[in-house]
Amino acid sequence: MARQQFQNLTEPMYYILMSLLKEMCGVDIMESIGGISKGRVKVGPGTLYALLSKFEKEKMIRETKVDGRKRSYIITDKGKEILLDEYRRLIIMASDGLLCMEEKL
Amino acid sequence: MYGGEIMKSKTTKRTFFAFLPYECAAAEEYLELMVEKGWLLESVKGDFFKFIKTDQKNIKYSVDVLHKISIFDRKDSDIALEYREYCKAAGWNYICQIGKTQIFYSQKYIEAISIHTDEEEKFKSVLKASLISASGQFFLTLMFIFNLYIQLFMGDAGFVLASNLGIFAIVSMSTVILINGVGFIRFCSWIIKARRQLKRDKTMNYSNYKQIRIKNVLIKNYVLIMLIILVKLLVFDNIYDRGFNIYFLLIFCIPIIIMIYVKKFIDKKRYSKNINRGITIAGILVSTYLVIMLGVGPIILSSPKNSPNEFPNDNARLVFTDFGFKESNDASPYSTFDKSIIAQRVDYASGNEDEGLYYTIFESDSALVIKFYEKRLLGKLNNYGVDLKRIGTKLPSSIVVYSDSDKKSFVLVAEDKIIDIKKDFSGISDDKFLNIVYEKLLY
Repeated sequence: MARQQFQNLTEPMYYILMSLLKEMCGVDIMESIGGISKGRVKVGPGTLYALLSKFEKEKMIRETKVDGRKRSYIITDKGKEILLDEYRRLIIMASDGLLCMEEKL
Repeated sequence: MYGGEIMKSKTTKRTFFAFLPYECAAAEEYLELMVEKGWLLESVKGDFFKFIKTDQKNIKYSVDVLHKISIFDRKDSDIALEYREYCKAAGWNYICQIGKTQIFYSQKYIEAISIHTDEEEKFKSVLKASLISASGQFFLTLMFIFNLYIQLFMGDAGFVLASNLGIFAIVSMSTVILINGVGFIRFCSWIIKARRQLKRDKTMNYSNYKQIRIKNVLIKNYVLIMLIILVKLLVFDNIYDRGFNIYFLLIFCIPIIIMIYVKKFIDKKRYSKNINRGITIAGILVSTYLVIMLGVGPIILSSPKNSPNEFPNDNARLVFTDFGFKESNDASPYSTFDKSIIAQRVDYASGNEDEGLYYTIFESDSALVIKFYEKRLLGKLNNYGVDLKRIGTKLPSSIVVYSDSDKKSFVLVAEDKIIDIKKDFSGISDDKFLNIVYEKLLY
């Protein structure tokens, strides 16, 4: 079910999972996404909060520590697998695009 | 003036603005219009917003829905506090919480990241948060339709129609059905529109401030009018004495007071969701018990002013002795009288060990009310196994008479009056009986 639901990750999902390759809390994830995408992708706190709950429920990430109200997470093997699948899919799409569009555009 | 202004001073203003989670955009629009007018939101209690005077104009609001908050969570739950920290890091300052809705503001709104950057996720969150309110509207609509059906079609509609309190209850229930039914339909249409719009261009509108404003003005005025009528009926209606009516009004304040204290207690203590659920259920049970013990008992035991003690009643012009019988010495005749703005009703019962006379006179100037009552009365009697059939009589042709096969039970229908009469005696012909009834009650 989870595999089906997250077959194609949305942009915020992709960047959140990428950020969580390193353990971090929600606030740090927002900063990390800005850093990775060089400010192109912005994930709002509402969207981040909803997606973290969803990922945790699907065991794609896990909680590592709770410091006051600050909860930290890290990606799980299942999450990594889904992230890697998406990465490969994007590579294939990009290379297909390169082949088809290079000479025509 | 935006929303419904309740109180205003030079530095503060209180307004009424009710909205559901899926109407969050309308609330944002309202708050931003208030800022333009120089009023900054300070706090919200229920549906009442408190504003303070401000010179700032560069303010953006975000009325955000966090569906993960349970109705049993205390006000500043850990989930809410954690979420607010996320929002603060994104440039949004917390103002207040109303149920599952949190209100934030940002002074440098150009720099702040929108709380929701994924419309699909926002839609799911708003939908989940709105479902409880919408389900409540749906069940209230069904419950009141059922109640209205029982009052008007299954019970004795005459009691309701001949009592101002009964008519008030019918009007209240009808408007609750209308308001909640329309609310539920609006919610369903929002879901359909929102899904379609999400598929089309990934953006969507949550609500329109103008619609919410009209809705709030209607609700506010309706509640005010109904409260005034209720107080007038309970305090000044002459069916029960004034002290009883005020007592009755206070009894129904008990659940409100108890539930306010339960909410305050939960907000103050840091118990888990399950304990809060238990405390809330206990509060509901205690409220129900107190209302039943203190309210229903005295109502059943008390009697309307025009009780048997006040007999003879001018409205019961036909009495048992008119047929030449003697009443029992140990039982006085029973007679009650009720009157509302649209109808009046007299109930009479008298007899002795062997014979008896029982009747109800229902009177109204409205042909529609008479027609409705006639239909309900005949239906009710037929359901009770009294097989009424229209019979020919020597009475004027404008009087329609129904009778059962034993000629014990009669229903006489005139232009503005319906008489449901039962005689438990013999020795008098049907024509003579009907003639006496006609002369005493219809002539």
